[in-house]
Amino acid sequence: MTEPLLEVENVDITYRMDSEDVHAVTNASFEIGANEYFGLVGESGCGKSTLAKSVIKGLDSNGEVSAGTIRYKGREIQDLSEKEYNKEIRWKEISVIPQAAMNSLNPLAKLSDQAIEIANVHTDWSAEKSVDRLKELFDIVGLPESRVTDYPHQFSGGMKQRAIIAMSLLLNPSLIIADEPTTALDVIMQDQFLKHIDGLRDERDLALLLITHDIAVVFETCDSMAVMHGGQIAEKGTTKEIFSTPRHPYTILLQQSFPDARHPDRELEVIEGSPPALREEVDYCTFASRCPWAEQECQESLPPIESMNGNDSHAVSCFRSDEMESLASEHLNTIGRPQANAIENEGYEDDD
Amino acid sequence: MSESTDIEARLNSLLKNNFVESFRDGINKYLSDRITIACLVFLAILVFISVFDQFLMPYEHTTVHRTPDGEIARLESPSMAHPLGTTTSGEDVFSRLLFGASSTLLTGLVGGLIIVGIGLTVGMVSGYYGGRVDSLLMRITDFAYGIPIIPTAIVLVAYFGMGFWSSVLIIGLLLWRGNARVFRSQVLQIKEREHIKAAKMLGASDRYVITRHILPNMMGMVVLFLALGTGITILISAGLAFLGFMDPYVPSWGVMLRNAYSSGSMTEAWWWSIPPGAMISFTVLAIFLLGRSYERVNEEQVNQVS
Amino acid sequence: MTTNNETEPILELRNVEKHFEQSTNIAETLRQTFFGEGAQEPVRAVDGVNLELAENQVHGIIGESGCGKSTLLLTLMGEHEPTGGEILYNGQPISEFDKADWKALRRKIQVIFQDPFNTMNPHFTVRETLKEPFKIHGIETDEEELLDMLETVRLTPAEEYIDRRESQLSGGEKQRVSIARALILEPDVVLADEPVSMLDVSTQASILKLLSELTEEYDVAMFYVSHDLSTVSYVCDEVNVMYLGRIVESAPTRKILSDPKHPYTQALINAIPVPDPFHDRSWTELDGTPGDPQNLPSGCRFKDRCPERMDVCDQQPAFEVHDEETTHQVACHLYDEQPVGDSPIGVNKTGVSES
Repeated sequence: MTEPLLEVENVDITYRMDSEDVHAVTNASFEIGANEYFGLVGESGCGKSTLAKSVIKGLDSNGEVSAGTIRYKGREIQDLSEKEYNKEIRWKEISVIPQAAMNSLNPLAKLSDQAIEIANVHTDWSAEKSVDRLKELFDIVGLPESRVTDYPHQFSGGMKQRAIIAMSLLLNPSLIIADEPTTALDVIMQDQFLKHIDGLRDERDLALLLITHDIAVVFETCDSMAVMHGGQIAEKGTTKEIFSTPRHPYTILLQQSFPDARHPDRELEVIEGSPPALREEVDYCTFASRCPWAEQECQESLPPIESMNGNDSHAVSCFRSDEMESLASEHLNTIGRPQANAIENEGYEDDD
Repeated sequence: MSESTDIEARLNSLLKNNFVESFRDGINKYLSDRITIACLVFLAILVFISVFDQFLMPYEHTTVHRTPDGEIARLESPSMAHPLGTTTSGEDVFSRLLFGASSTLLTGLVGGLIIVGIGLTVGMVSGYYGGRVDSLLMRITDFAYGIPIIPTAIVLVAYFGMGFWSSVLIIGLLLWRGNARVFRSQVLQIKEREHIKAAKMLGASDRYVITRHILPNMMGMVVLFLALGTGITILISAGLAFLGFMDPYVPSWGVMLRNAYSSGSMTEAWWWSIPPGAMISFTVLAIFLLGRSYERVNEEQVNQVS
Repeated sequence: MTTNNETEPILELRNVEKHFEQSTNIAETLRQTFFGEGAQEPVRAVDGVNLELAENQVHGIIGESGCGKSTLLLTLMGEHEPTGGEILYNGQPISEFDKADWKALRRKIQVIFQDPFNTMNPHFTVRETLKEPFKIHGIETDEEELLDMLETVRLTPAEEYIDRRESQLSGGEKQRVSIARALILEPDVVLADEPVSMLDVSTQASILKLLSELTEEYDVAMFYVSHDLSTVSYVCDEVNVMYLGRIVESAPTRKILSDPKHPYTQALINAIPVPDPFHDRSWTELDGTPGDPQNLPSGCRFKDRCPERMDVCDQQPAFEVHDEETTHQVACHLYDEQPVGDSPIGVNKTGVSES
């Protein structure tokens, strides 16, 4: 297998708060290969954004990668200084499509000027070269080249999205990180955005790390994915593996809690309770308190992440993953396609 | 429901709301900051002095002291008998400084209350009702912005006489303008919150919405501006006093400065000019800092994470 | 789930219009006076909407942002006065209501807002929030009632939640408090403005389920406003799709999901991501965003984005019953009496099955 583009290995991330530490991410590992579209899914507050921020040196000042390594093209980047990172990685290797992407363009500058500025900071390109490059990219995302000199407000919402995608590709990065890019968008706008992201696959060598709470978006857009809960990676694998043979109880329940327009009558699963506050060292499964199948062991030690039946890509962090298939089907009362028997109770959601 | 059980229920709900606890919690947070404590202690001492000045002053502030040979003790430098020396007319500076505390604080507080009172009313009405009322009030505010404070105050003081209260009133009436704008924009922001829309949808009266929903959410700002208003009033009245437009018989610190200046011995008699000046600065600073820290605590309490 | 045609609608909208005049500043007024230029076109946020909400029914109003659904809701709440048409509550036009009637109406119509994050006054506890409706209407209440309500919205144990403040609740919990506040006076109608759109998808299910159970339990009718058709089936009996101020399609929920007629409805359904990596959904064909409600095209307002555009679309399509049995109404020339060409492509492209 070729060397992966991004390797996150046993990463712990800790936020130092006034009185205590918050262990936002515990022992997280995943890999993104070149040209791979990778989705990181979980509910708000599960640590997915924190994990992504650690890759782009975007953690708040009180947060740090307290253990583990993050390697980009084989090189450890977690200890790079801000300056080195800016010089060598940002925009050129990894670029970001931020949350609320629609408002992320500077309203006071022409797009061409914004491109020139970015290129100026990170490369030795001439202004003409930067603008030419932006024109080229406008062409790829389906915007007229003549509009590179427009101000962002002259674009409609849909065009703005495309301009942002074009901008993120400016310095030809190998990886784009998109953090909840479509949250707060209407379905049609979301679909337009995903369409353009998907369209890039054929155009260039590009990998994507897509962070979202919407498992449906990941199933549609990504090749591989990881499901996070309470700062831990619960399960990872190709989207098809996760869809067909989910082995972590959280993945199973999460999948069942999603509406599917093809089956409007399907009962939706409700996941009880809320994840723990992660105030002390995390040495237990963070899903145990919400898991219908949790045992003593789950509260007492952290389940290792183990690959499923010798399969390299699919790995689960659950002590009972072997039994999960039968346990889940009992619970879900399978009729053809799994149909959930809803548990009446608490849904959880938290602002991130 | 009988009255006693009603009261009991209310008390219970008060207790259950952790009112006492959150109050104590607030005080604790307030006191966690050393600068805040220093300011509080300083102001507490000032208030104590203002209330008990009659007992604390070593001499009457108007007593003219004489040297052993019967001369008026003019401009004596600090000594055991006169810790801050004497004035040109032989009065004890220390006594005058203590006596001046009450009038200075009162000036500030009354001025601050007038400023915030008018500013809040105008801002609230303007922001909450909007439309024509808003336009009218904001034009008036704009007009008020155009008034230069010190010259106008001088003219008004000259016109209405140099009474202590009238000068404070004039300062208050001129300075509400900035507050009004800030409060208005706060109201505009807060009134769009959904809990306020929800209350309106329930048919709540404007009065209810304002007193229960908008004001509580503006308290931090109101206290901050009260502090700022108090400070600014003290500063401006000191300025007016220095220019000779305050009642010279109410010996506030500003008037002391004025006297020291007009005696022509301001530079040599540092014990006469520096203490009132320093007291004005420290008082205003302490009030500002307290206002800021109240705002901080207020915000933290509302946003506290369980 | 059947439409109850016999009962009198509890809330009825007759040709309701809400146009906003462009703000005229001095320069504008001068130009109009001296150069005789006409006033600017008004923004036609809501333009002739007819809806009937019968007792105990839940109607969805679905559309993209900017389609006028929020304005419509605000008009129903009495925040805006309609510039045309009539809103009737129990057959009474609300434009004739006096102050006392309004106060009574405010008790009978309640709202659930979109943003859970400032739905509670940060200075209030849950208890104070739930007591507020009683206080405003001068009704006695006791602790029991509040606790019961919290149990009803599944905030258990209620004793633990009642003293919490906004900052001590998660988004889903806050939305439960909003629901409790809306239902505690036992209203006739609830207006829900995108109540779940700011929650995680996995939390949406539980809130929607709760809403739909409670509308049954409390016998309330509801207008459910959302941009998302994927979850309407869990709440709504009937769905109205709105586009630039007009209702373009209206049908029972199952019907509209399985057999959408209007190209816009089809696009809305087609754009919903399908949680299945094996399913090959085609990306949306629609470009851009809904137009500007100030410069509306003549005729069908969807024509500029419509993949099925025809010449006849320059005329306004009638909003007609398409299917006698199910009250399926649609405003599109594709379904004119004289069928134009074949049945439109993409009707069943989504693979929506009638289950």
